[in-house]
Amino acid sequence: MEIEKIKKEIVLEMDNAADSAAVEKLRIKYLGRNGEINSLFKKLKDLPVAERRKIGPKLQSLKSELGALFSNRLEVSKKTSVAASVDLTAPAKKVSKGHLHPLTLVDAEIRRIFLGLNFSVVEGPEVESEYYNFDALNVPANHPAREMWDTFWLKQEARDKRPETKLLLRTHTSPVQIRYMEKNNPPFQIIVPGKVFRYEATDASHEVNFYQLEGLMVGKNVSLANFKFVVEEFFKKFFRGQKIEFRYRPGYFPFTEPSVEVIIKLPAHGGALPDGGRGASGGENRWLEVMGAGMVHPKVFEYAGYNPRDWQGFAFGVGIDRLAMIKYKIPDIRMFYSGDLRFIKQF
Amino acid sequence: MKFSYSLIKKLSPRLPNISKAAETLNLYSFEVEDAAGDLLDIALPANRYSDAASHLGIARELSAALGKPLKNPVKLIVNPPSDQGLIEVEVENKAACPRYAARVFEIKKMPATPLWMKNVLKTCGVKSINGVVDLMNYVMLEVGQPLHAFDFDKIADKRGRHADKRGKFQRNSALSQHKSASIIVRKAKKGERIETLDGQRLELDANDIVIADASRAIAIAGAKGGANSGVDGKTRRIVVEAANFDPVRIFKTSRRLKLATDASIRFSHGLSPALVDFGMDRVTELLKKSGAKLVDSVDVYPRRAGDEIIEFDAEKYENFIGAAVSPAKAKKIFARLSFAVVKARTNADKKSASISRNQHKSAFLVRVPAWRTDIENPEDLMEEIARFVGYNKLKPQAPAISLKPAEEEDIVVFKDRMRKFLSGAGLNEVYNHSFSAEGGSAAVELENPISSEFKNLRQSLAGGLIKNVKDNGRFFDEVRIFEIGKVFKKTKSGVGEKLNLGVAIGARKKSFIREVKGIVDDLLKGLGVADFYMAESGAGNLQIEIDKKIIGNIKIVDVGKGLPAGRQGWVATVGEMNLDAILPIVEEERAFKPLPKYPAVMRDVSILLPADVRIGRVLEVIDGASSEIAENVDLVDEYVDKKFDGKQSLTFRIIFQSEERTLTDAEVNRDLSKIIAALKKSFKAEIR
Repeated sequence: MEIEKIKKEIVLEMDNAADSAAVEKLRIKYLGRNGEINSLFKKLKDLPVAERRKIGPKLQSLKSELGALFSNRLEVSKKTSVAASVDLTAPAKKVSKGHLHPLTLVDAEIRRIFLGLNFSVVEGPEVESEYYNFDALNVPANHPAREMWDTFWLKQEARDKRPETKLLLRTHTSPVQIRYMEKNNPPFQIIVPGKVFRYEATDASHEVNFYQLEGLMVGKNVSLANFKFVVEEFFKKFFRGQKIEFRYRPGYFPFTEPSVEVIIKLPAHGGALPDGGRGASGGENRWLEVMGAGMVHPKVFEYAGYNPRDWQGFAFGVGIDRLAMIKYKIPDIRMFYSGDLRFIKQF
Repeated sequence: MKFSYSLIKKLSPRLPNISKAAETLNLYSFEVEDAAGDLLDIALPANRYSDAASHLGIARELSAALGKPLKNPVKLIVNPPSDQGLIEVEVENKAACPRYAARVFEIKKMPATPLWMKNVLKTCGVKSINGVVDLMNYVMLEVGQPLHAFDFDKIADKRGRHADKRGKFQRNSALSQHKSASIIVRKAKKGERIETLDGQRLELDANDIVIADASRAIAIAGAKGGANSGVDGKTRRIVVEAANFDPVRIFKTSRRLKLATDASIRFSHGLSPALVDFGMDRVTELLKKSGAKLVDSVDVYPRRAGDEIIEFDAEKYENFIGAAVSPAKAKKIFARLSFAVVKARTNADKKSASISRNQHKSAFLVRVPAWRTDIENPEDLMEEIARFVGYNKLKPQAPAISLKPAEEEDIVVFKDRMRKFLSGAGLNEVYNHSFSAEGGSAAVELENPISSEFKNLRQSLAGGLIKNVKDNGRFFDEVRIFEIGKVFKKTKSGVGEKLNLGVAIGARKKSFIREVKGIVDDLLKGLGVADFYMAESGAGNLQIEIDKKIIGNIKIVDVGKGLPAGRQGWVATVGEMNLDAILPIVEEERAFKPLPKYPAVMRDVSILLPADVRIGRVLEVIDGASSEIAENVDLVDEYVDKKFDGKQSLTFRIIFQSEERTLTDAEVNRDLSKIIAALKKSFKAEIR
């Protein structure tokens, strides 16, 4: 008798049984008083003693094994039948899972992409000195260039007149460029996400605080063409699945030379745009300014203690809020800071 | 800045139509904000006012980009009449005024402004005043040098003759006697007053620079002319001023006095003194055409602004930009910008910082005209080539880097971890403003707040979270939120900036103290911080302590008024911790603990206690009375009922377990009765 073969056949039949009634039927067929296993036992006595001794215990263990399998299977089948009695069309019950803020999601996505491009992530303080926020970035005092950044200044009682001690809320994440270079040697590539502040009236596209991402890559041969590669890789990954067109326009930032502005066009973007439709030129309303960038100005390297004849590199800045607005089609930047859960729970 | 495209086309006649021109500027030069009709509105960068805040400058950019010829309208005048004794200029503060040129003209009558010129002024947003003033403004728009015209006969001579005692000019008596006008460029006196051409009466301070005659100020330098010396219909002799002023001074003065004029905006950004020649000679030509006669001139220009000589190296360019350019192509672009290729002539040239000792074969020297104040170093020259070759033509190129693992700072990783935990605990993340109205001695105040409710920096996250709970109370029955963000306090050395984590759960008339405690507990234990303690400190306030240092608190706060009827009475339970204090003690090491080998025994104890007994105390007593086999004590039920005389009924579940043996009933009961005895003794508790 091929005990193993019999077992396999029975297990297969059991697996194919549709419901608990079918399983019970099978159980009676094999393990019932007049079942097939018992009839095998009956046949035993017709065999020679030696064979009987060999097969007897095997048959016994098959019987108990099958007993366990059937009772397990019946247990499962009973449960299935509970499931079958439930009304599956009843409405979903809310699962109490918390939602992360959309800016957190976008920030995490940005960091993931840049980590993949071998950029490290560092941060810096939100209260900054005038020196790091402006002077060291080649934005001199009493120069109209400073008016590119409307600044919140902190009240200070007594202090000397040096820009190192005059405090403000950083207007961009760029001061971290200087802070990082003061403590690290090239070559390196970093991104710096963080909160920044602007003293300006709020509206659908302006907030008194928002988030920015700074990028900085420095080495012996880091070029503007390298910048284009990195930034295009980033945007392609960030707006996955969309064909993006890129445009570069000459720009001006005191801390980069040359400076460029990156403008992109997304085909999927039919609806309202965060910048109210003011595009790159001539009535185009689908070109979006997304980034300011350029090659690090030699004076910035000097402020950070590098010899500008030895090192070169690029830096860029991009608004995280703006990217989130474009990605999720959010029409108003103020929603991010409203604390409104009707908004946050959508993400 | 507004430009008239018809004037630009006059200067470079073969340019395409305005929308093509706008497109070209966008690609190679500056952002165009508007291009409609005759108007080209350009966002001029702060470093390009010297060369490009003019129609000539914009025409030069366009013709360089498109390879079209440029017609420079300026014909330089050699040897104008000078030293005729009609005009004297004294510059007292040379640093504030590097150049002051003045010319005297006789006009037979006020010239009429031609219609085409009026149209240019109109497109550029400049009001037409009279023939002389319009001409001054037109030449400024054309070549970028601000100009001003005084009435010659309203300016006193060296001894102050021409004015009566009240300072009022007497035309008839003065004209014949008046032999010379004497101009002084000086610092204003503190409190000195001047009435501007447009009728504003302004008070000056000692940092302002004025143009004056011997008796009074006649203009605020670089910003606005004075009413006392303006050109009018009766004017027959004029003094035209073309000068250069220190940008910082003009910037400060125009800001303080709110005098943002076409002149002050240009001077604030820094103009080259070389522009004076263009402005003066061009206006002279146009005045002559209108019948005026140049009779005298003076030019105080002690230190000439020289051209810069800077090296351009095609090899360095390739390494810097990432694409090659032939020296021939680069030279062609430079030529279109009026930059000349020169040979090093002097040792001084060779020693200049921007010229390398051993010049590459691929390198040559470029003479940059003085009016391109933005070009200071080789990178600036490379920018000129790169943008006119075209950024959009540059091929992206993967950087070659040595592989080094990219890392995130500890705090970045830590924040991620906190967010994952808190959202997993069912809390929704909010971002609040960093500002608050909360005052106090530790408040960091803003010099220029945007509003009174945002006058300080926030000292905690709680304020924002409580407001969020209230605001959401209109739409939800229960609000569960968290925020991770910086908070600020005044310190001895300045401002202390800390990273906090805040949690708030709110609903109507309900405390979530146990849940918030549970979140804090779970969070800290999950970080391997075992040694923390929560101590009651005042009504509705718990302090979270680690190693006897307070690192946070949990409190129960009434969210206040403002919710609609039927939704009032919201209470927020708010927990806040300082993450900077926690990060250094996070224990990353974990060791496996063997799973229990012996079964646990569970017993529930229900007791009745006076309502004012603190549960924390009860737990302490249970803890003190039990032996080490009591593994865990948990509160599973609590309520206060009238039928218990206002007492509280508490049910504790105690788990007994040993690592060495199966516990017997007798053992467990012995321990349990010790606990019960201690509870009876300490609180007069009734066992139910």
